[in-house]
Amino acid sequence: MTSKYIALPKSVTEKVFDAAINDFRSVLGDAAVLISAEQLAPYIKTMMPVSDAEHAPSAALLATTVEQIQKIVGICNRYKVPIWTISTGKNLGYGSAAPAERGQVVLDLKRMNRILEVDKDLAFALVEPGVTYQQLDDYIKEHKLGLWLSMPAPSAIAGPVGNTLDRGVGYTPYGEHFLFACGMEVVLANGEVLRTGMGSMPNSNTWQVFKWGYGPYLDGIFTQSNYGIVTKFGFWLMPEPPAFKPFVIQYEYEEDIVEIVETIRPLRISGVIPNAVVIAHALYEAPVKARRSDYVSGPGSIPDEAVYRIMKDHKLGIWNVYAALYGTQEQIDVNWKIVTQAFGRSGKAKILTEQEAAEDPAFVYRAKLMRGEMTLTEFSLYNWRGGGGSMWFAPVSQARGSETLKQMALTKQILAKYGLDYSGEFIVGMRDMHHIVDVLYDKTDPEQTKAAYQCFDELLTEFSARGYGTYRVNTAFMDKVAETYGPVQRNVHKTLKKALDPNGILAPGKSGIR
Amino acid sequence: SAGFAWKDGAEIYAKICAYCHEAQVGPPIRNRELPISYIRTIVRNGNRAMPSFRSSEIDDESLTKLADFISKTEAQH
Repeated sequence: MTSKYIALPKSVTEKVFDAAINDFRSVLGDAAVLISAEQLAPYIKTMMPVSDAEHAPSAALLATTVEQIQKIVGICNRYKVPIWTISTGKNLGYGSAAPAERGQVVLDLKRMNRILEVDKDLAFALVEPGVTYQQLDDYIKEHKLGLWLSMPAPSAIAGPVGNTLDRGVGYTPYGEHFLFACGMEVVLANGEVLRTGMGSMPNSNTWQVFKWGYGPYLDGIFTQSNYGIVTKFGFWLMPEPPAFKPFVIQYEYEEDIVEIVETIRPLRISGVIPNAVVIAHALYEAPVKARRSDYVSGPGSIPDEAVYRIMKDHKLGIWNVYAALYGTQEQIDVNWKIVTQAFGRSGKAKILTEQEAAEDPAFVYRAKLMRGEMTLTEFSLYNWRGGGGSMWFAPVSQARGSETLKQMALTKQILAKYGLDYSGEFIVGMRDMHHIVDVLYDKTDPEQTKAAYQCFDELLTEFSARGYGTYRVNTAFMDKVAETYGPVQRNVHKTLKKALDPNGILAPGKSGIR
Repeated sequence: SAGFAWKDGAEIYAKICAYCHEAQVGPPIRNRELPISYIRTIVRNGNRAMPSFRSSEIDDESLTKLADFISKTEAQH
């Protein structure tokens, strides 16, 4: 007889799972416990180069209250059922909404979506996991709060809780999202509710204004981890500046990244350029304007000659530096002079502002991202090859010119070996770079899918051999990346896991932690 | 207080679909008389470059309204 489930949790019999499902139903109601193939279909689509069956959930639970979640973990402990928690579940390129391991029950918090507080004066928000950036943006505009969001490119359909819990980034001066997090509420595996920082103190009104509280600072252990289920999340918002000046600086040669980074670093560290700047390769921006198939056909990675033709046809640099200035007009004028002098020195840079680039679709969406305005235009990346295959390869780099060139060349060389293109960008912190490469392939093509898997594996192997670590990765490669950070760190993670979740019910496998 | 819920098909279209389907990321889908059942299937399963959307994001009732909105031909002016 075939099972009524599309998958079962690891080491859980159908009979035991039946009992767990019954208990979930008594807590949530039948309509919020999904087990049919049709209901679970949206949870199964990933962009990873593995069979979707490897990450198929056994069920999904739609919880809306802390009390329900406390009861759910009670049931999970009783039957040893593992749950994979998602907030908005739009982790595209990192595993989407599917669990790390086949058979895990997805705890879907999308419907737990109340905006609990947005404080205009202190410029912070407190939200539930299902809140999207779009929802928050609408709320802020409706109430004329004069605050700006920072969000990743999936903006409208993603949300601050899920993104920050995976330590994602944005493009405004508040782009390092976890840095601007302040206060969490977490349901622990034993059902207790922990509020971090000042939130643990009765009658406190400082939960969203002072991060550390007293004693060990715990928020970090609930990011990229499986030590608790975050049910409320506070973070700081940027007051809308009186003036905003986005610009792009284009360079012609790949080697120019050395000059770009050496020029930007002091401007970023001193705060002259305050936002998370992007140095995007031509192939990262090209999909907004061009089709790959207009330039190349057949197997193999795109030749440099074709990339130069795209640049010429579509007014792109090989490197496109998107940055912005914020403040009063006087502040912007002073800093603009510093920026143009610094980049003007070598004569290689082409500097464009809104005056010259207002019609350019790549500039338009970048300007939106740098002011926290919703746009999904960057999803055009997924049309470069099409076919639904995408993995983010995201090594960390020093913000040092020679290092960025080295990483770029190595990435490009390994991608080319597997017939794939370098669609990369550097997101500039002050001292670090998130080197973000979209490993794009056609998932409907089995050969290319296999090549993409091997390519990603080799990228991780070669980069870690040179001491380059990855900041975030898709669920198919979490164990491999965890290994690259060494056994001592892994043991500490495991020790914490055993102490906080002895039955291993919370997302086993997340970041390689079981 | 209750959480957010969709008002109608036009709102869902504007706040989700239009960001791609009116921006040359996905193909145009309005005024094409796409069958409602086709729209539902693509939204729930995703389709190659297009992500899937769960019932927690767009509930079944709202998806019907959305599909109805998309499939309807805009009045000609």
